[in-house]
Amino acid sequence: MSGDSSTPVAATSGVDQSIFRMWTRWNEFWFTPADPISLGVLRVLTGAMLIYSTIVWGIDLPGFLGADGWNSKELIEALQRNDRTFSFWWDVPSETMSTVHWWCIGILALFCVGLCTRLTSVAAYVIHVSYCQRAAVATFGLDQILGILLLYLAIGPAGATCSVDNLIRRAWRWIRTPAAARAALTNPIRYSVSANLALRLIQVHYCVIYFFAASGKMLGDPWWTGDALWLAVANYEYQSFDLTWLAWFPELVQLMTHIIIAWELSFAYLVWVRPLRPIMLTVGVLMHLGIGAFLGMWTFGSMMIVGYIAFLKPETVRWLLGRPFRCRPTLSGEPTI
Amino acid sequence: MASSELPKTSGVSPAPEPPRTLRGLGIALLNGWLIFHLFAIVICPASVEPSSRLIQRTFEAVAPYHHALFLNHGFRFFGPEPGPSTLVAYQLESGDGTTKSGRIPNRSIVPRLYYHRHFMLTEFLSNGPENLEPLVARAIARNLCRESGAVRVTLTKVEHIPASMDEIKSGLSLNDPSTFRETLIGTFTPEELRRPIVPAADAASTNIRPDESGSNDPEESHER
Repeated sequence: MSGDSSTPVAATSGVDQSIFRMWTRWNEFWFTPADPISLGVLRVLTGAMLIYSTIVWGIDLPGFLGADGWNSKELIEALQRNDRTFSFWWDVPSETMSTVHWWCIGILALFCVGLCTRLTSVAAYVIHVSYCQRAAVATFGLDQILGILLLYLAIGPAGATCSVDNLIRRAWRWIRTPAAARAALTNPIRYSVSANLALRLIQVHYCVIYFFAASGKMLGDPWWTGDALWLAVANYEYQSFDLTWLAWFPELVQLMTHIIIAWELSFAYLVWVRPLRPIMLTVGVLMHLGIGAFLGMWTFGSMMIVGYIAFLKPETVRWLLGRPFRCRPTLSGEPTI
Repeated sequence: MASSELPKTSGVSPAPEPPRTLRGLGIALLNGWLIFHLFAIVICPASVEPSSRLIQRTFEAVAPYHHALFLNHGFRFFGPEPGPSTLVAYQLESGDGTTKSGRIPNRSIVPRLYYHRHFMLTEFLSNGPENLEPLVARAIARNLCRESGAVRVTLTKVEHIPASMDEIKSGLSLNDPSTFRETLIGTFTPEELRRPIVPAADAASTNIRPDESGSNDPEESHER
């Protein structure tokens, strides 16, 4: 999908060349085939969190999803009156809620291990959206980031690596290969345009999230005066560790508040500067670990960190995964899994 | 973008190419969707107030896409400022006259995600659309009656204001009674809750902004 190399660049005007360059870069950015290993890891971690989140919904199914529960029919219908939302839970009778719920968890487990991933990735997304749209008043940032990651995992080849699908594919190839030739059998990386598209969409969506998180904060005085972080840690309902000792160190609170704003505001730009990317991601990891550890939102914090995998080089992801998945060049120069 | 970060293309197995016109159409459609999607994911958080009428009207045009894909989020985490928490205190009266009281969310419930989902429910009382407050209160009362079999439930909205640094240094605890403000919501009976109520006339015409519909995140809700 790259630009047409036969275009007579020399004969075109400067404007034409600029447009051509932009088009070429657009194509390179979005449509260069990529190693799907990052999507495989994202699928496993997102799937695991999704199973946990869904099990938590199940602690009180009639409460969260029932007509007479916290998200009562009259409330959610009024809330979504003008919206084109979707949830299959509207059509599930109360007596079969538990059965449907456990079927959903079963499908999510298949998605997590990567079985029939093309189907189960779409099913996982539909399941997640259905829970969230029906229990709309009980959702928060975790559900948003899960929805975003699931959407893009359904677009890309999330089951191409780290999956049962891949094991079956390899086993099938091994069976079909004559015994004498099996020793030379390699598993080439299946580079894919849709893998790159999905990873790029996650990256860009993260930039949008942080940019608007920062711009929303800048409307509030405490983010300018440096008191915002205190207001968060002094909120008893969020608190999971007592950080009131920070009251004796106001400058530290102010410094951390300013760092958060500066980091969020600059993320959308600086994460694309290759030497700065590790720093931006490290600060993000520390911030989200802090949110998880001290404000009790470890589910949200950890999923935000999981999304950073999209920013890592595929080689780095393979290296982190260790030998079983590590890329090794063959004699022919073809990379293998 | 630096070319060094482009994914490598080696190892791509050549696949049979579709006819040129079909491929061109596919590329055009894919690029068209991509541009629309990028526009949509930006316009949604941009339409959270304060925003221009132009942005808000544009959001309304693409809102069905957001709602269908559950992308209607404002991402205002702890913005514009981390504010007080909203809790709900309740008193249940059973048929034999005994009473039981409690508070939502209950800090002792586990796991934390379960607690947090209850916290979102009560936060919606303050952060959701104002005209839906009566329906939120009725939903809470309805669930409490369903769970407990109570014949009457009284709800009180409790605002928990974070103590300042100076107050903490002077010995105040985060849970000091002076940091709570209570407002009576009302008393409900199961019979009354079974009767449908008509939301305020403007409920139908209220344009629910991103995160006021489909998502309830107190960290990002104080701008409403």
